[in-house]
Amino acid sequence: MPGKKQTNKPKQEPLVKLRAFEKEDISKRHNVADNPATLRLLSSSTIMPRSLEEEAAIIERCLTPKDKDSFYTFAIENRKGELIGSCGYKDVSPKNRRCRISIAIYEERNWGKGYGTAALRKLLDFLFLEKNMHKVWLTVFAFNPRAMACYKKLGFREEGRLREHVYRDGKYHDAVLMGIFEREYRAD
Amino acid sequence: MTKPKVRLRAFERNDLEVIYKFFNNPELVKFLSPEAVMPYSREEEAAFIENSVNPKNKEKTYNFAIANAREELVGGCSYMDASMKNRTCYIGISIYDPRNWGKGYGTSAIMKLLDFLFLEKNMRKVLLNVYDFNERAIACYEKLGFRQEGCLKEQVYRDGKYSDMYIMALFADDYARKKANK
Repeated sequence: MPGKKQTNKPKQEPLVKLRAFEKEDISKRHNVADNPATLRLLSSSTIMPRSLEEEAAIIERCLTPKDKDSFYTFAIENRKGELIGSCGYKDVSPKNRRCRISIAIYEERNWGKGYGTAALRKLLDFLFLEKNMHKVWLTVFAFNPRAMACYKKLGFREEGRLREHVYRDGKYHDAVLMGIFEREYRAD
Repeated sequence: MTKPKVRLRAFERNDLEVIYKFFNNPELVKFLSPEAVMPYSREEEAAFIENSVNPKNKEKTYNFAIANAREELVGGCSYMDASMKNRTCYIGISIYDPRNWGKGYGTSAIMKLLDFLFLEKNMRKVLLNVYDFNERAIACYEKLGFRQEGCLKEQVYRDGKYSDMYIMALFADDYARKKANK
């Protein structure tokens, strides 16, 4: 194109890819997702081991999703094609055009590499630019500053605190509500 | 004695052979149940595995497999009758191979189990039943801070005579204090 500078830089392959879960992911996921260091950040329900068959039942629900409009879980893959985590949306309210999201990078050795941020950018692109959401929100435990910093960097703002909402490691902790609007995300 | 490392994990279907072998050892089973010590078929053991692999009500009861540092299955421990309202539950444990007794596996596993029950599951009081002839277990429980709360006289008939069954219990506060003092 005349007048426009052409850059010949080869297009950098994205850090992560969001794809559907497959049957082969069952044992892969069982090996890595059954990690208390990760699980303690994800859910307020009791952290317990899962047998291979329980894991299979969870993945099977992802293989044949019942209602993709309302909730869905993506597998997160790195450049090497390894399954490193998952992210998804749920509680979609079409009238209010909002939903909740969540994300997990399974193994500690993959934390701090930008995988989570990259995956969330993809997820937010999808939710705001394709699925036409107005607002996306999430909850994060107060003892997870790494995640909160990531969400803030993406433009999320704290909207509220559920005080002493989660019992973990022998104490009660706050759960923090954070949210972002489409316009805030686009402005970023 | 330094405590051996153990991991509590889920039971898997391929644990069946280990279970089958050890639950047919009367030396182990005599400590575990008031019922007559009798052989178990693979089919009977498979029912145990099935319940553990696809647990029905994890809130109330659950069987953990105990793996040692070499990832060998060395035993099992569980909680039962968890009452969320009263914040109580019962526990049970077995180290399968008598050759592994006295190595600290049981103590390590119970400490993991207690950490889970008190620090994650928010229990306030943990109870257990033990027969009076299981002196090794009683010593272990006492070391961890369990105290006898009751005694059911001549509750179990075994080896030609009647034996008592003790009910022992440990409170979360006492356990935390005990750990802090170590």
